[in-house]
Amino acid sequence: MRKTYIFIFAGGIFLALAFLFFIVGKSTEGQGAHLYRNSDANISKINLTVFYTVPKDKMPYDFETVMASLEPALEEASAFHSLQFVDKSWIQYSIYPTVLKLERDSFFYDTEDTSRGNPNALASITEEIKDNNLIVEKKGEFTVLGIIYEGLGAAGALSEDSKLGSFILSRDFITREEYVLSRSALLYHEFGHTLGIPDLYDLDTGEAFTSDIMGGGRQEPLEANYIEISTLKEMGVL
Amino acid sequence: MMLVVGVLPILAAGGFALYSVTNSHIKSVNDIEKNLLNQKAEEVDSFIKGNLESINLYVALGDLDAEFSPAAQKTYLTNIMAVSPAIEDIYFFHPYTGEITARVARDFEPSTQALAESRAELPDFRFLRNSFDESVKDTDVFYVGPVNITPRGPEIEVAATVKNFTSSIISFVGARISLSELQNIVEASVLGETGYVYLTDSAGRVIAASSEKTTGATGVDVVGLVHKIDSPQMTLVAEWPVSEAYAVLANLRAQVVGFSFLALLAVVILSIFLANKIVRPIRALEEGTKFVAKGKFDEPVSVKTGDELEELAAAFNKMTEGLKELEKLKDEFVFIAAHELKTPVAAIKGYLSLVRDGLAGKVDDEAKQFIDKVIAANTRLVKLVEDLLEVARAEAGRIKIDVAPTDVVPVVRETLSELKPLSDEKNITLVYQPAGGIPRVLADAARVREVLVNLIGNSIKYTLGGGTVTISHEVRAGELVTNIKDTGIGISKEAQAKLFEKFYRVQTPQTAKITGTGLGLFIVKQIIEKMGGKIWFESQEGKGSTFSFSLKIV
Repeated sequence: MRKTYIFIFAGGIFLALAFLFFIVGKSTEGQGAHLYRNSDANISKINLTVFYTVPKDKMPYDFETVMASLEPALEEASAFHSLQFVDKSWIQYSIYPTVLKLERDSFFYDTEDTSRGNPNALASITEEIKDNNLIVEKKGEFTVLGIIYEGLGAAGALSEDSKLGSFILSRDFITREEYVLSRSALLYHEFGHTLGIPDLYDLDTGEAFTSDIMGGGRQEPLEANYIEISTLKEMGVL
Repeated sequence: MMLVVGVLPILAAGGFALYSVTNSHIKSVNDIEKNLLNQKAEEVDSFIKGNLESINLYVALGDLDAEFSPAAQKTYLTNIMAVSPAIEDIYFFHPYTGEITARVARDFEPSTQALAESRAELPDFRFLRNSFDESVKDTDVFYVGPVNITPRGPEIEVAATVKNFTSSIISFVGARISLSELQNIVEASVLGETGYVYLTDSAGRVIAASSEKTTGATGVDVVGLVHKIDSPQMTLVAEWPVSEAYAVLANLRAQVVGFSFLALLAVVILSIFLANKIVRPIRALEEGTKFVAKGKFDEPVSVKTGDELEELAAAFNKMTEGLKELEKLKDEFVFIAAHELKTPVAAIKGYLSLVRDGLAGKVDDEAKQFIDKVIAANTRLVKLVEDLLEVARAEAGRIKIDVAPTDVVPVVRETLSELKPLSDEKNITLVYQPAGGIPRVLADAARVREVLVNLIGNSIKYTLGGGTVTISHEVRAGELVTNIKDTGIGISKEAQAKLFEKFYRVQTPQTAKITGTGLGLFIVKQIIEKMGGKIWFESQEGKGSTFSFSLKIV
């Protein structure tokens, strides 16, 4: 009888500990970063491939000029990402070496409502690039597709299965002088969406809820920007 | 016991010293860290407050819209920035709409889009809107946001109301304050050689540090202390590697342990020495008493301690000499008494025989009976006197032994022949069948006979209702052992211990009628030992006894 009580007591202790561990949660210490509110999608290493895409009926901007602005912006964005994610996530980027001529005319990509950053173009071009097997997916890495579009664009999205993120940014934002201070921030803002981070400003009025890069900070130089603590917590960084 | 008494206080004292010094040092380390953190907290607080003061504006203007133009605002902001190097970005924003009315950034020109932003949904605006409440109207209200980590360094957003000369709120002012100066503040921390201080934000991110080693993740044990700062929420942490912070304790511990060990060793050695010094004389006295108990008065106790123990030993030796003298007088008395008694008892024996034989006249049967009783009593008296004389001679060392090569067998036969009537009377069989070749022994034949008479006589006396007395020999280690074994009443364990003592006789109902002086075995032992032999016995009550003595073989 006494042994039975001891056994039951020990079993109870074990169950309580198991409950604490598995149900209450375990420490995220030592785990890498993950997508926004999705702890199953690890983003310790991000494989970003950027394409300069031009619709069939348009002339490409000087590729070298695009590259001259794009590369530093990507470098800044990458450094910004490492800083904010406390080295729990880092970006390995590459730029497709040539202009990617799209299969359709601009009309096709810009047919739908281009407000909200032309998400139609983002989706169509993403599919086109995938269909042409231009995306190199590496095991253990989160794949992001960056589209610099010769047209209107400023959007970012995450695929339904959370395995691929893609963003689109108008080439104007990269090359035009008026955006020289904010281009890196705009690029990272859209990139942020590929990680599932939502906008932190009112899409209709433009009023920001935060001053960070997903809110009012998207208009500011990247060096003055940051990601909100609450967002970082939802991504397993803090 | 002395070890325990000596060791325990030393261990206790050492342990207590170590404990109190350790506690004191731990407290000192804690105080050092605490004072350092308090100092740094004051410096941080001073920095923050100083910058807040720089945006605590009272503008000597009336209405905002009419008189505080954007151009004037921009100039105002530029001037503030010029005197506040920590301000990276400063702006006025409308207290009702949240729109930015003027903005100056240190390193860039804000874009048109940025300038068009409204702060109406941002936390600083919502916070400052509460300052319109009458209850806080006349107080200085500041918004201090959390720490943000930007590529140009850690920053905080702050905001305050702008009032006019009537303390009416005419605008809000906001700024981004660089916290890079905090790195200088923290870097100036001194905590020994290896200690360090760091500052974290509310999420635990390091904002400033005095060393590259900023967290315990280095695997080094540290003594740490934290100080919370409320606005903005930050934490100052001091960490001091134990190897340095408590180095003095390690040294002290080693010293205390070393000293305690040495003290312990000294106590042990001293204890042994003192114990010997005290115990040895006491043991000597104890040995002395044992000799005295055995009747040996020629073993004086030697104690040279120069103290009371030596005096005690001297007194003991004096007592022993007194006892020796007393013993000598007693022996002398016994000898003289026995000697003087010998003649009269012999005369009594002689005259009693004459009277009984009728030489003094006719004696009737009844008188003869009475005379026989007196003769018997006198015989016992004669035996007692002879034994006493023998004892006295033995103790005075005057017992005469003439050893010579002796054949024991005929001595035994003669003794058996002498005692046969006595054994026949009691229906006891005397058995003696010596094997051939019994070696001769170095002994006094007469004395051997005396011994045999006594031992065989005792065997016969103490065998009741028939039995056997067997005499045998055996050669053992160069000695001839003679055994006298009877089937008598045996001797109890208590009696066995005293058997060879003077005047001791076993007192039981069975032995009440057996006569004797109690000196026989004492005399036998003296005789055997004088001849260089030994005597011993084995006995079992109710079953019989075996007395044995050994004599050296020639």
